[in-house]
Amino acid sequence: MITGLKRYGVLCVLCILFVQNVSGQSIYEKYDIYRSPFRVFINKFSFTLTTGYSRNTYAHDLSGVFFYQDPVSQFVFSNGENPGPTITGFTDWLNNPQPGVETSIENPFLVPFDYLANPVNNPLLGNQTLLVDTDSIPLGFRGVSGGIPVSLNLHYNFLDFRIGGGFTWERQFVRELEPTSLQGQVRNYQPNFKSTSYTRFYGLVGYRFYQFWTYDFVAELMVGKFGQGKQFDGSAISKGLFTNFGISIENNWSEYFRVIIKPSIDFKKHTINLPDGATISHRTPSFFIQVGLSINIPEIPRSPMKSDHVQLKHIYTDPKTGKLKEVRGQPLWKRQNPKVGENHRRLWRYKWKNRKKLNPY
Amino acid sequence: MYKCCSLLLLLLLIGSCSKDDPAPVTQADTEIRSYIDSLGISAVRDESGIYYYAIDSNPGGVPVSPGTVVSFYYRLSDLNGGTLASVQRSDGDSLLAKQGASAIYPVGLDIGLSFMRSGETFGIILPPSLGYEQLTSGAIDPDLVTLLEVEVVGVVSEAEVFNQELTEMSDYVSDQNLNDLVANPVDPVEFTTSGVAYKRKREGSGLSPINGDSIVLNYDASFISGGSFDSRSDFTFVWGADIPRPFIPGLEFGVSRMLTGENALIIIPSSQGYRESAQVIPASIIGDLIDDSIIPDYVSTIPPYRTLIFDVTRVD
Repeated sequence: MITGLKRYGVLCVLCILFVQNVSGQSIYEKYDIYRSPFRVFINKFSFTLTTGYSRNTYAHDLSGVFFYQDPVSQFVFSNGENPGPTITGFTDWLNNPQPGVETSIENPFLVPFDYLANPVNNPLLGNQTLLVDTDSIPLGFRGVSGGIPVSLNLHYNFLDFRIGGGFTWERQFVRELEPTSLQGQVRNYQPNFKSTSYTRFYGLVGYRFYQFWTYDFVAELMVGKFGQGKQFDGSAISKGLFTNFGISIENNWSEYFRVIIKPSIDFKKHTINLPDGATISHRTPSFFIQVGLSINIPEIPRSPMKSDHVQLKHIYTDPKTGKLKEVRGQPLWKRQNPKVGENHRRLWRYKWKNRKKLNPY
Repeated sequence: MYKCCSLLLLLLLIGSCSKDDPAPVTQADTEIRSYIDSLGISAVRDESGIYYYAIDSNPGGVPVSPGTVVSFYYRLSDLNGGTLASVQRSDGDSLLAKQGASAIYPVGLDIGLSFMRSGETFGIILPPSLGYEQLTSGAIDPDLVTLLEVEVVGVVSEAEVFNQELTEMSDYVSDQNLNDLVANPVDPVEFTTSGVAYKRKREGSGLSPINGDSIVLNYDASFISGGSFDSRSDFTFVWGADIPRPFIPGLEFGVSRMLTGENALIIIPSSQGYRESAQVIPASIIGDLIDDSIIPDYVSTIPPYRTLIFDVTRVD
């Protein structure tokens, strides 16, 4: 074993010498050192998996519609014509507009509707019918809710730039939306679903604009298509692309492995097309804070010898074929060609239960 | 010792949370007490915060109790003696109100009446919180401490009121010769057990309404004592949908037996109509209270305990 390690060490030193002396010429060609072309190619790509928390806003301004509210329902309908004594509007205008029941827009406390027991200061009086032309009285709804995104992306690195694409799946937990005006008269909008899914397919470009020790700061822009869960009626919705801009802060543990924290903001909107011709535009921006891992598949494999923990990348001679192969002795998350102390700044004897002892042994 | 102290503390806490706590002393109390002292009278402060004192007592009178119908006159003034409104004997009929049913505004008057008997006159001083504090129109200063001098002239039960209404309805039928089928075809007046009287004036065809039918009515509505209060043409609604709310029971009962094209008089005692409605002092602020969502809209049209007549044609 020790003999073997010495041999590899000598080879390693030779490699370094060759690199220094044979400048401008690939040592892999000169000494016929094998490296998998696929590994070399795939090494240029980074695979990133992140998850975290999203803060999602649902906001819309009603315009071009009548908003109607009675003690049991809320709905909207086009204000193209003056409403008659009975109306049929649409509920669930956030995601899946449904025809409401035919409704009288009479004041429920006028003759000939029923008397009200305990009439003075009866709470029901604050919950009367309401009909608002949103072109005259601006009205909208806004709510904020949380979600859990999971993103997987792949990008190609060259110089300080990166280009790639990816996929995000997000579970959103939707809360009720509060009115932006007429508070106290208009009740909160209650979505007909508690949670939904969002999917995003996107292209990605990025630029590493700052480095600090092992940290990279990368500005990333993602543009792509997004899909909404089955709670959203796709036939009644038109939507464009979404845009996401964020700063990826990456701690490089090694050239293959990094830990990421990424805040980003996401802009998207969709428009509900009501059957009566009215449209309602919904803005649904989000703020994400995600953490995750990013790896590059190493261009060389681990040494086949389990006891090989050589700090530097080195040459290994395949005993069967006699070919030279470049291998690494360190796992993915360790620096492959570390400087002194980079991989083992603290000895094991000083860790865990002995971490506070001056002289553990 | 420690346990005893804990128990005592707990009892004190529970006691402090009691809902029977008297209203805290306010600046209005200071003003009211100063006024009472200036008069040299003794007044009782109720736990709600109102003050009352007897001007004329009548220990043998019928006590006002929750659910009874009170006939009264009043004079509303500020503590400087300026009259804001009044209804006195010289103005005509007394006002009616059901005590203890949240059907009287201001709320302090409802409370004050509960201490009175028929034949008595009380002074009831209302702090703003039980007076006109809720009124946003400014018709009466919301911070004003008000004095109501109330004379209760009668206390009866609702059953007695309804019996009087039935008598009134019978008199009306006789006076109008509604059972004279030559002068007033088609059917004689039918008095139902609920008290509603139904007089078919023109026969219809088809079926009586069933749930989900779209019904169209023309009607004129008036008080049995005279005076129209509502009229509608092509009033459309879905039978049984109860949207936005059900109708008054008397009208619903009457329409339930109407065929298409039928015309009928439906005479509705208050028990099947708007019952106690609400009594507002003074009447001039009814519109403001409706705007403030303090009372229902129909209060502006229907005073308490009124018998109604609907002349209805089903036209759908």
